[in-house]
Amino acid sequence: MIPLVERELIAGRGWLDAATFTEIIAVAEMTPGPVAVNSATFVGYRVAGLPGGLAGTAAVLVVPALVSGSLAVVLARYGGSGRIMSILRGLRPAACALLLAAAVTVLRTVPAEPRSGLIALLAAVALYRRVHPLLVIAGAAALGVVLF
Amino acid sequence: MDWAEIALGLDGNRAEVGRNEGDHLARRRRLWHLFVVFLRIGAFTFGGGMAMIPLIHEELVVRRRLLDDESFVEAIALAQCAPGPIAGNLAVLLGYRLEGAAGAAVLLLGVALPAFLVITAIAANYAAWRSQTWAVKAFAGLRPAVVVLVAAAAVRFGRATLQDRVSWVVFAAAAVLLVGFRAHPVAVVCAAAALAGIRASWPGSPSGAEGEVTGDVPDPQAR
Repeated sequence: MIPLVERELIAGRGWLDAATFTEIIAVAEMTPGPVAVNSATFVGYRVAGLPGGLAGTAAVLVVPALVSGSLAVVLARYGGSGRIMSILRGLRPAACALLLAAAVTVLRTVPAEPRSGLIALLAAVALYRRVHPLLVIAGAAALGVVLF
Repeated sequence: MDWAEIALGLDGNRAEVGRNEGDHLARRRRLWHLFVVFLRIGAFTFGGGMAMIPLIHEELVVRRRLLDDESFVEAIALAQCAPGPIAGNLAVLLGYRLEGAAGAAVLLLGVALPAFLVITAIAANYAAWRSQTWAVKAFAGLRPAVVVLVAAAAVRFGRATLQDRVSWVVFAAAAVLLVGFRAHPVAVVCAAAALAGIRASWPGSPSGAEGEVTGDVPDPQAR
C-alpha cells in the first residue's frame, strides 16, 4: 500500500515531500495500530488538522470495513452449509502459514544479536508460564529501552 | 493472576461476558466490555496487524471462551481476503460474529482509537517527538517478542488444525509460497479455498463428510 500512497500524495498532489513521508512511515510503524491507518491519520492531520486526521483514518478503514462486513453477513447467513464449512476448514492450514510468514517477516528485521535473543527467550518463557501477551509486549518494550 | 495483570485490567478470567443473556442491558454491558478489551488490544498492537492475533486470541478464546481456536483461525484467513489492514477486517469479522453489526463497529472502533489518538498527539507535536530515541529502543525490544508471540500462535493453531496429511501439505505449500516466493496472502488464501472447494465437491471425498462440526461457542459455564 505504501507505493500507492506515495504516488498519490507526493507525486500526485504534492501534499508532502519525500523526506517527511519517510518519517511518517517510520512513525507509523512504531506506533500501535496498522501502518496503513497510522499513515493516513498522520498525513490527514498534517494536511488538514484534526478533521483531516479523522477523515484520513475513516477513509482508509471504510472500504475494508464494508467488504469484511459484507463477508461477515454473508457468512452468517450461508455459513452453515456443509460446503462452506469445508472450505472454511480448508483455510485453516493457510492461516497457520500466514502467521508463520508474518513471524518470519518480523524476524527478518531483527538483528542477530544477544539482546534480541535474550528478549525472545524471555518472551518464550513468559508465554510458557501463561503470562498475558499484553504484559509480554509491555515488558519487551521496557527491556528494549533498558538494553538498547 | 498477579498485581500487574490487575493493574492492566487483565482480570477477565471470569467468563462474565455470557453469550446467552438476551437482556438489552446485558448486551450493552457486553459491548462496552468488548470495546474496552479491544481498546487495550489496539493500544498494544505493534509490529503489524498480525501482532494483534496473539492478543485477541488470549482475550477472546482463552480468557473468555467466546470463540474456539478453529473459528478464530478461519477468521484470520478470511480477514486477509478483504482489502485493507488485517487488524480492521479481523475486528469487523469477529465483532459481527459475536454481537452483530454493533459488535463489528465496537471492535473496529476499539482497535482504531488508540492508534488514532497516539498518532494525532505525535503529529501535533512532531518536533518534540522527533528526538525521542526511547521509542526506537522500545521498538527494538518489541520486535523479538512479537516474533515469538506470533510464532507461538502459529504453533498453537498448527497443533489444533494440522491433523491430517492434506492439511500439512496445504500448510507447507502456503508457507513456501508466502515466505519463499513472497506470494500475496490473498492469492494463497483463495488458492486454499479453491482447493478445499474442489475437495468438498469430489464425490465420496472424506472432507465433505467430516463429522466434527466445530461449534464456535462453547458453553461459557463449562470449565
